[in-house]
Amino acid sequence: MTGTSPPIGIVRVIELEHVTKQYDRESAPAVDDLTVTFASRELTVLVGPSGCGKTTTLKMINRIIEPTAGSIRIDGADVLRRPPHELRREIGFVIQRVGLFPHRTVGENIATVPEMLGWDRARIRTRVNELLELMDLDAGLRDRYPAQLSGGQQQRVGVARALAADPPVLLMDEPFGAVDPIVRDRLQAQLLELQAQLQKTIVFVTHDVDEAILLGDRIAILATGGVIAQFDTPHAILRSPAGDFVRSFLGNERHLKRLATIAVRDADIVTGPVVKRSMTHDQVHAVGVSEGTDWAALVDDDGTLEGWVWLRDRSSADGFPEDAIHQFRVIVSPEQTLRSALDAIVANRNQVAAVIEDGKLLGMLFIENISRQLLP
Amino acid sequence: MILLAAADLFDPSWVVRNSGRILEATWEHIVLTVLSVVIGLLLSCALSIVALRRRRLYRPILSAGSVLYTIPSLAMFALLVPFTGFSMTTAVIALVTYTLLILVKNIVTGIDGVPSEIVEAAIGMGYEPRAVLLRVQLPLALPVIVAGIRIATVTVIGLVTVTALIGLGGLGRFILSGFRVLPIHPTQILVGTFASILLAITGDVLLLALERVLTPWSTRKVAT
Repeated sequence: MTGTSPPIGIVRVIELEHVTKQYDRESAPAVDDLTVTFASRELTVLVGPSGCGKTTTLKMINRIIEPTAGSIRIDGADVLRRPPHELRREIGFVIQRVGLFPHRTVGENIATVPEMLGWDRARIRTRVNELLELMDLDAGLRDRYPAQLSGGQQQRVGVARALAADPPVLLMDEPFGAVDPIVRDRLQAQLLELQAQLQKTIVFVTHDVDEAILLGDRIAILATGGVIAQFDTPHAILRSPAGDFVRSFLGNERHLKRLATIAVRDADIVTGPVVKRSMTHDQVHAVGVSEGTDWAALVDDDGTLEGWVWLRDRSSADGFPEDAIHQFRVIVSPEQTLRSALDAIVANRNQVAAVIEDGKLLGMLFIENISRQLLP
Repeated sequence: MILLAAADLFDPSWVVRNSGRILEATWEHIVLTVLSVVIGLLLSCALSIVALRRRRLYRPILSAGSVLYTIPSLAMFALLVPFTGFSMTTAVIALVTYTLLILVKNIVTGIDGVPSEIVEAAIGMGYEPRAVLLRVQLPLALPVIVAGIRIATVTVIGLVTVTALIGLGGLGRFILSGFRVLPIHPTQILVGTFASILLAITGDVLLLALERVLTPWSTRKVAT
C-alpha cells in the first residue's frame, strides 16, 4: 500500500456506544441508544428499510451529523473530541450521488485530500496515477471534467477520491444506488477485489439486501430507530434469521440468497463416475457398476477433463473414439457461488455440473448436493 | 417653429470637432460604472455572507435592496446632494444602491444552487467551512453571480447618464446638453445615447467572455 501511514492506529475498529440522534423537529429519535462495533478490516453493511437510521448512523462516524448523545471511537479515540475537518481527512467518504466537484478535473478531484494535507505536487501526481490505475480508469481521463464521464466512471472517480490519502476507514453511503444494474454489478465486483487488496475498515450503507449479502463480511440489519435486528455474517443471517422482521426483510428467496453466500469449493462436491482413458474395458465396466450409472466423466492420466462418455461406447479395441466424447453442458469453477452454479445447471436443463480448476476435474456438483446445503 | 432637416439630425463634423470631449466623457462613464459595480459587488458579498450565515436576515436584506431599487434615480440624487454635494461620491453612492438587490440575489441564489451532494462531499473530504465556500461553492456559483454582475453593469451604464444632472454623467452630459439648447441639438443626443448603448453591449460581452474563461468546466462547452 502506498500513501501516508494511517494516522489512526493500525487496528481501525469503530465503536459506537449508546449513540442517539434526535432531530429537532421529530418526536422519535432517528437513532436510539445504538451500541455496535465495526470490526477492523471488515466490510460491514448497514441495511434496512428507509427511515431505519442507517445513513444517520454512518454520517455520525465522520460527524457530518452530530450525535445527540453517546460516544463514537475509532481505535479508542473519541471522534467527538477532534476538529471535524481533521477527522474527515482520515476517513474516506463515498456518497450515492458521487458529489464530484464539477469545476475540477478528474485528477484534481482525486487530489482533493492529499492537497489539503499539503503533499508536494510530484507525490500527488504519482498517487493520482496510481489510483486511476487501481480503479481501472483510463489515464487519459485525468484531465477531463466530471461532466464528460459516464455514471460508472464518475462513481469510480468518487471511490478513488475517497481512497486518495489512503485512509484506514472508508464510509460508503449507498454508493451504487444511482447507477444502472450492469454498471452496479461491475462496481460491486471491483469493490470486493479492492477490499481483498486494501483491507480497509468499511462501513457501507444500502437498502438493497442482495447488495448487502454480496458485499458484507458482516451485515447489521436495522429496524426503525437504528435498532439492530440482527448483526452477523450474511450466511448466518440467512440460515437463521432473528425474528419476523429480519425474515420479511430478507424476502421470500432467502434460501436462494443463502446459496449466494456459499462457494462451490465449500459445498459437497462428489467425485462421481469418472473413468480414465487408460482404463481397461473391465475397469470401465466396474465404475459403471459401483456408481450405478451408464455414463462417466472422462479424464486423461493427469486428471484433465476431456468430457463425458456413455460407458457402452468404449470399443474393446481402442478406448473411447473421439466422436463418443461429449462436452459437459455445465462447467463451474470452485470460486463461483452455489447460486450461480444452480442457475447454470437449471438453465441448461441438467442435473450436474463439472467442477474444474485449471482444467482439472475437481468433482461433480449434483442438484441434490446443492439442496443438501440448505438443510439447517 | 423647429424644422429638422435630415442633415441636421446627425452632424459628423461635430463629432470630429468634439472627439476629445467624447473620449473624456466615455472614460468618465467607464470609471463611474466600474467603481459603482466593484463597490456594489464588495458590499453585496458582505451582505450575502451575512444572509447565508443567518438565513432569517436574507428576506430583510432583499427587502431593503428592493426599497432602494424602487427609489427614482432623480430622487436619490436629490436626497444625497445635501450630504455629499455635487460630487463623484454622490453619483457612486446612488449607483451602488441600484446594484445591491441584483447582486445579493444572484450571489445567494448561486450559492444555494450548488447541489447539496457536492457541498456534502466537500465537507466530508475535510474542507473547513470557509474553504467549502471559497473553493467549492463560490466557483460553482460563478455563472449565476456573473449573470448578476452583467445585469448590474448594464443597469449602471444606463443610469450613469442620469448623473449628468449633478454635473457628471459621462456620455449622459451630451444627451442633457443636446436638450438644453434651442433648437435642440440631435447630434449630441444621438452620440450620447448610442455611445452609452455601445458601452453597455461591450461591457456585457466582455463579462460574458470573462465568465467563459473562469468556468472552463461548464457543461455547455463540454464536448462529448
